[in-house]
Amino acid sequence: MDDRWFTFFYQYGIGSAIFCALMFLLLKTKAIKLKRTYDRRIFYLLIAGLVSFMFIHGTWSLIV
Amino acid sequence: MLDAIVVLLYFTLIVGVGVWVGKFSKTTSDFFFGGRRFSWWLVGMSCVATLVGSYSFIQYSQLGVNYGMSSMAAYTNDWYMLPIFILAWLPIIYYNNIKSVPEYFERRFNRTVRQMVIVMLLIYLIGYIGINLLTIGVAMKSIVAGNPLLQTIFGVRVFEKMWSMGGLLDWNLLVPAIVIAILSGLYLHAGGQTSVIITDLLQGFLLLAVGLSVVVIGIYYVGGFSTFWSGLPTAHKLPFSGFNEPAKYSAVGVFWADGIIGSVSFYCINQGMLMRFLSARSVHDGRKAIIFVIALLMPFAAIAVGGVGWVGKILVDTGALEIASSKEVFIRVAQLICAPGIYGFVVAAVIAALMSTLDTLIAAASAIVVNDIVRPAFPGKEDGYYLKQAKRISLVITAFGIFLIPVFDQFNSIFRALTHFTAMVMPPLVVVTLVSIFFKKFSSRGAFWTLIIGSAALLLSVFFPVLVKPIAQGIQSESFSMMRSLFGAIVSAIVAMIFLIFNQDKDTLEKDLTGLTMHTIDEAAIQYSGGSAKSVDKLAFSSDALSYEVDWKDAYKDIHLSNSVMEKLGVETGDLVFITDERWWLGGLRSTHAILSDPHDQADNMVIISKEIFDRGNFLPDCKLKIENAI
Repeated sequence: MDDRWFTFFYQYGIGSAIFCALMFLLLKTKAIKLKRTYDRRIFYLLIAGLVSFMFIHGTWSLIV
Repeated sequence: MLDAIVVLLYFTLIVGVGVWVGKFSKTTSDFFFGGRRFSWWLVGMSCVATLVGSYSFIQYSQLGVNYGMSSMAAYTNDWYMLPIFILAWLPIIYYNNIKSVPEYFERRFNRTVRQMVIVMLLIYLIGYIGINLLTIGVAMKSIVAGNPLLQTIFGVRVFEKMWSMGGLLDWNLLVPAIVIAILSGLYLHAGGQTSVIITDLLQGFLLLAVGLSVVVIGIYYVGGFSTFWSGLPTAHKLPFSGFNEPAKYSAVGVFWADGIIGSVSFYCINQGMLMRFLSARSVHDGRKAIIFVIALLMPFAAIAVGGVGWVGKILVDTGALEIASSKEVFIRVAQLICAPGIYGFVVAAVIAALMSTLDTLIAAASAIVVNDIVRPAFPGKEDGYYLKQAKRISLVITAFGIFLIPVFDQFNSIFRALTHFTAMVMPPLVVVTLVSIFFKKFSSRGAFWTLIIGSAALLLSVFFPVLVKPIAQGIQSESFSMMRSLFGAIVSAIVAMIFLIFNQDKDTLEKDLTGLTMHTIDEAAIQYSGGSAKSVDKLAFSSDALSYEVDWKDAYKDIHLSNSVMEKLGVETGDLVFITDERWWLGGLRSTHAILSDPHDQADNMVIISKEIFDRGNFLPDCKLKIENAI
């Protein structure tokens, strides 16, 4: 695999795994409750942010 | 001449504004946390000035010229760890009114762990102040050395004439650093965090605007965007450097050292950053601030600090610029492409980056000394006493930082030792902090030994880098400096897990940890808001602009609203509300929190506040107020 894509998948693979583990712990300990509108908004915002960074870095690697 | 005028005007503006806003700082809460009243955009913008450190323009431009656009990587990899800060650590610290990181460790564990963390953080912070001041000296030397006018402004010539010291001291390095330290100390002494936030707001705007402008001017200078883009080698256009090479700036090293461990240490454990987010008017605003910083401002800041290096690469490759070392690329490119006057703004932007990091570090060290040493040693004194001590201590720390400049400059081994120390302190602290908030059963003994063994393992790895090799993921290096933090985190995590499984002491199990772990954040919020559970489940509401009346005779207490406004806000008597001047652009400078008293029976658009609230909120007569649910 091209070094640029290996780096990309390594970072977003491990980074997303850590991110998801944190979200799981936050849900499990009820630090956030998805039945609350406010918490739900933050939850989806965080996921959207991660996907956006991934999309920008991915597109950038692709264009170059 | 024009450049010198710009720099002088800049100094006057920053110190003038910093000292002026000092009048809003009346208590220790104002001094350390800006009265916990600032809007998200003000907190966020001022954060950028702090995040763009004294070394940033020089270091990231150097990375830019050497490795291209991957210089942005460290500024765009904080999102992975963001959930832990905004959904757990910030609410825990904010709702529990915790004033410092060590204080959390005493509440969560015991005094021994707190004392240990105090020592670690103080050596880290004071050492970091010295390192920053030395970096300021080095950065300013490259600007001042060849410019007689700037040498005069900074007083270098006076010192050179008065004391030659046999060439022992480099006045070009020392004097500008001292001048910047004194000016930062001056406005910090006047207004603490309030002055820091307002001046950092201005400095944040300046360094972003100037940094981005220089990059745009540079691209125009080399012949426009298409020339710029086609002139860069492919490797220089990629968002990440090579996976495990170069050893000094590999993608895997940046990911672990900066994106994972660095993000937690910077946002959660760095007392200066923590104080910045605690100065937000609510947890909600603190969350908005950090999202604003990480999603929007940091990518722009990455271009502002590293972009000159990309332009420099083209200029060097085409022979338009010759540089002896990649370290000087920022200054040399700026000198080449900027007209007189514009270059003055570049110098001002570098100074802005230097001052805004320095003032935050001094405020953070002063907060730890006052809250973790002076308060426990002299309990029960009036707030004015601690405020006086805070101001004195900030000056003493500034003076001590100045003393460290020639020491670090002359004795490189001390500088290196401290650099190693700062790298050794953070990974164990990051692990202990995360395990403390994740697991209720993590014991004091576990925290203590995780800190000791984690730091010892890191120290050992400095002398035996081979220890780091198994996790170096192919990086070929003699020191494995970038992967050391991952090594420290793994060792610390193993120790913490062993204690978590095999050693649960009775004291920790029986201790009341309400509000101090992720499991009980709602309880902390209820306690903070005054006890009304209803407000926790509601979205934050804000009232319309309301006229107000000050109760000069103290017949009323705190703040009174009409029944219908209270209902709209979702608050009850005894709840905490936030009162602010309706003008949003003040960013909360005229505002305060207060406990809600019984409803009044006057018109709905009327608020009644006590004289004490009027003074505390710095309100002006004849303006309108908005009331917000504090949760």
